[in-house]
Amino acid sequence: MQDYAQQESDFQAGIPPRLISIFYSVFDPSKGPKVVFEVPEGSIISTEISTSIIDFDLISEYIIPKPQLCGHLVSICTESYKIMGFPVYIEGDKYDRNAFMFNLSFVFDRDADTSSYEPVVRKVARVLTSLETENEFLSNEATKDVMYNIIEQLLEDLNSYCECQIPINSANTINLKLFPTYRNPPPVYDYQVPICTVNLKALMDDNWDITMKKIATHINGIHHVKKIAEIADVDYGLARKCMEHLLYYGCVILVDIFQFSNVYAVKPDIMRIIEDETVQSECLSYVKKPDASPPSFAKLFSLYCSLKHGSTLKEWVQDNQVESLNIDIRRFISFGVIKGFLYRVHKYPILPEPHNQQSKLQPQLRKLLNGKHHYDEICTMEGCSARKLDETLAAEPEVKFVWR
Amino acid sequence: MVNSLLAILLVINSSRGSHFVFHYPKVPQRRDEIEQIRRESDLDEEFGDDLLENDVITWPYGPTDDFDNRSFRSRFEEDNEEYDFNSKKQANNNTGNDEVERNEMNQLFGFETRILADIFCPKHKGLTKFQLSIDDLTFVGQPVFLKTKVDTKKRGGDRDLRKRIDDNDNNIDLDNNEELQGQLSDAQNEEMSAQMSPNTASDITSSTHSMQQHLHVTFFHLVFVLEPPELELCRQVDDIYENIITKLTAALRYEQLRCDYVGKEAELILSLRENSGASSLDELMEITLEKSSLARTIRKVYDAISNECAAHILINDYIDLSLQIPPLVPTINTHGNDIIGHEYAHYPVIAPYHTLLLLEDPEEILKNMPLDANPTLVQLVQILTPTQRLADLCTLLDCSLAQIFRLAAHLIYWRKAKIIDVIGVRNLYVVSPTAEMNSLPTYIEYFKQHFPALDLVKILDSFSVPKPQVNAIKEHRTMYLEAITYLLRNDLVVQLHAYILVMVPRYIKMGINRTEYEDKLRNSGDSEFNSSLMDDNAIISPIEKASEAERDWLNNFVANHPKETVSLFERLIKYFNGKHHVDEILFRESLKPRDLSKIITLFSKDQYIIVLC
Repeated sequence: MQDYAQQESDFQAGIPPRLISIFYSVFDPSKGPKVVFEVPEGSIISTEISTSIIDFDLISEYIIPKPQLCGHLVSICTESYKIMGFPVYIEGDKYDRNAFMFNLSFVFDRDADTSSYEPVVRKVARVLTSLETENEFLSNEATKDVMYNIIEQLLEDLNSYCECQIPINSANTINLKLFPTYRNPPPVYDYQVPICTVNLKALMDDNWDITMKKIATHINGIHHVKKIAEIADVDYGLARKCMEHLLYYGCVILVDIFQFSNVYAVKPDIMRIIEDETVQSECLSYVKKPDASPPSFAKLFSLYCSLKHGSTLKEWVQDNQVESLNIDIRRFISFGVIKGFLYRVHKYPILPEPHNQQSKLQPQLRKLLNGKHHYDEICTMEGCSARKLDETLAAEPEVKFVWR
Repeated sequence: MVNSLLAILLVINSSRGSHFVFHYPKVPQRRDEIEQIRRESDLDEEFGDDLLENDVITWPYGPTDDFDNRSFRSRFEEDNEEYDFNSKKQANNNTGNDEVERNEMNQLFGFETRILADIFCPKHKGLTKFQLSIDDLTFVGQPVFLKTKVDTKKRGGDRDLRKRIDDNDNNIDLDNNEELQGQLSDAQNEEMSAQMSPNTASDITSSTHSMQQHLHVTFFHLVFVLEPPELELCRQVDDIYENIITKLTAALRYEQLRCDYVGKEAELILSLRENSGASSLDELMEITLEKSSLARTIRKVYDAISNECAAHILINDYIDLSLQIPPLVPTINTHGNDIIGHEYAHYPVIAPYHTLLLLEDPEEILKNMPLDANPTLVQLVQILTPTQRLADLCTLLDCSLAQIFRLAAHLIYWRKAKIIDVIGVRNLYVVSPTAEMNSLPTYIEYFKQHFPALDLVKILDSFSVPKPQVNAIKEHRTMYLEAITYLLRNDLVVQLHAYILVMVPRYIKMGINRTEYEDKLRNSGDSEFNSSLMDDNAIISPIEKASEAERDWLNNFVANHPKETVSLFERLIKYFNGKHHVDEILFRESLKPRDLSKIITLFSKDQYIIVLC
């Protein structure tokens, strides 16, 4: 599991990069590829007093490219900049050479992560294309100079507000919004338990997806995804999808199902929290029962350290008299798992091949005993408890268990 | 840290125009497809799951792109008869059906290879790093513009000239203009056929042009195609550019200048395509790989990089090259050496009590070493056994420990070995949480053949509770150790280490005495006086930061003990902070486990913790 620092930095990375310049270029029937407008001035077109940051001649073959490349998002890098555009080729008898080609290009630092701009660049190109095909907006002498105002506002608004709205005419408006891009979430499984990191109910409004609204109210840190889907009366697949969305935006963290038959073990990372006082106080306030004074952190630490391979939570509770300590055991465990210094040791039943075909086990269950599926997964799928599964598997003495 | 290399392409420019020479693999597989296959094989057969397999997220604009692409193409066909279009060509593509098979020779990622050849030949000659993205594909490379001794000027002019014709005289550098004019006639005279019409020059790849004339390569470009997921683009591009592209390109450039290697190979590959008579692409690929060493090199690099291992190649039987994207790149939040035992998180810390576990057979490793390999390294690979510490190897190899470390680091960097603790029957192992269970049948089979007395599943079962396996396997000791070696090599098990932590009473740590602490608790007021808090402990400070009170408290333990115990205690106390595991302590102080346990028993049960992790 990723630790918090990693997640933090991932969310930092989602912030849209700074837009350095925007330029609009066309294929001029007599002069070839040509920059028509640019903001800020002098960034693409060299003047007598200053040289441009990009030499247009060197990249023009990728800005106004061969028609095969039109209709694709094309980015080309120079020494220090990245130019992203969406070249468009519009065919028509009314044009010289029977076609009109244009590209609105966005300039970033070379190392910028431009994923959040990709939909925006595509959309602007799409809007401009329809403006041209409907009203000859780009090719008509009367309106073509409006482009300058548009790109000026685009640069200003996208950099300052991450969104922009430009009314073009009575029928058309350019509406753009930059959404931060995060890493794609890992797949969500039925047997995982979501824990909210934010108050979802406070964030929710009427515009939310109905399924999401149904599901969000049942996230309590105890129910697993399949159970939530059942309570909320929602399709399992949709429930998983919703969880992936929440995970993508960092609204939930997924942990394992809490049971007293679980086994946990510490990772070497646990030594880090010895000197980290913020985590220590966070831990105390997270795991203590309400209105009770918690034990010292050293006590909690030694409790964490006594979680080990080979002994279940139930045994651990008995051995350490945890009941008397004013702590919420479930929160105590999930704190360790979320912080990444504790991990669940899953129980994987294996039925070695070749096994007795006359086995009493269901063929469907037997198929799952290949070492790839752990108890949580099988139990969730079969809808039975761990103890029930233990009893079922006891019928087949050849089944071995791998804990990992 | 997986990279998303899809394919490697080779493009050249010659006296007869731009050529798309070679690409590997034959049909590059896009990430979406791979993911789909993976998901299906993962879930489908077992669960027959409802939604998942159809829900793979694809770019919403995928289909429209294909549509656009197709329509542009057809328009283009009508409008520009100067381009030679194969009438059967279809724009939408990249699934492996039969129709595509026929057109594949000239199609890649939905583009004609001829167009790609053109795109990858940038006008900007000073450009060192080429990076172009088309939708979610990114093409990276280092274009090489060649200036051969004999006709430097002409070749340069030649190229510009072609560009100039291609681009309808639009974009000529003013500086070069004059020079070009001069060369125009010159070049035209020499290579009439190629120069006269740009058509012939640009459709070389598709038409069956005669190949009697030797190719003069003026430019070559090895292009790596990546399909990185969100936020990974910069890192993946940098990784592959710095570690693979620059090195491979430099070697090829050297060989090209030395003996026209790229030119000859390109000519060979192109003539195979024209004349081999291969009926299918598979066959052509097979013949090409058999005949061309450059094609084999490209395949080897592709296979290694996409499988995350190192490629050891010998370019043109002349240049030895080892290429890889280094594993375990140190991350920013590295904690330096202050936490030992994090081998798997960052670059491993090598210690004298470690040993190396070779990940391949020693013979295999030696075979891949260059002829002039360091003799000590060769010796080290020959004598390594996972039961001997690095410190013990010094005497055997007659070199310093520092030198051994350097060699060890080299082997680890090149993925030939990993660091482990010396394997022994007393060690505690548990099944690794990241063990790859898909290969379980293979492992079981291997066990049956090599360790007939041991049953893999039983061994893994026995690791559920970490305990030394001394008695259980007495009769099969050697075989057991070999089995453990195999399990460690395949990341099926990991070793647990014991760390010792001393706990001091809380009031000592606070620097007050017991009565003061009691008062403090009473006066804190917020809750009723809790007597259990009286016995509360705290984790001891690192010895160099420990307060006077903590030291005094510690010294009390050995107040009435013999001198040897006192000195041993003082030597060991600094290790009891959870940062040094028992094996390390024993090695550093050259102790027997018995001596260590003698010191530990000085403490009462709740004054220390032993952590297994």
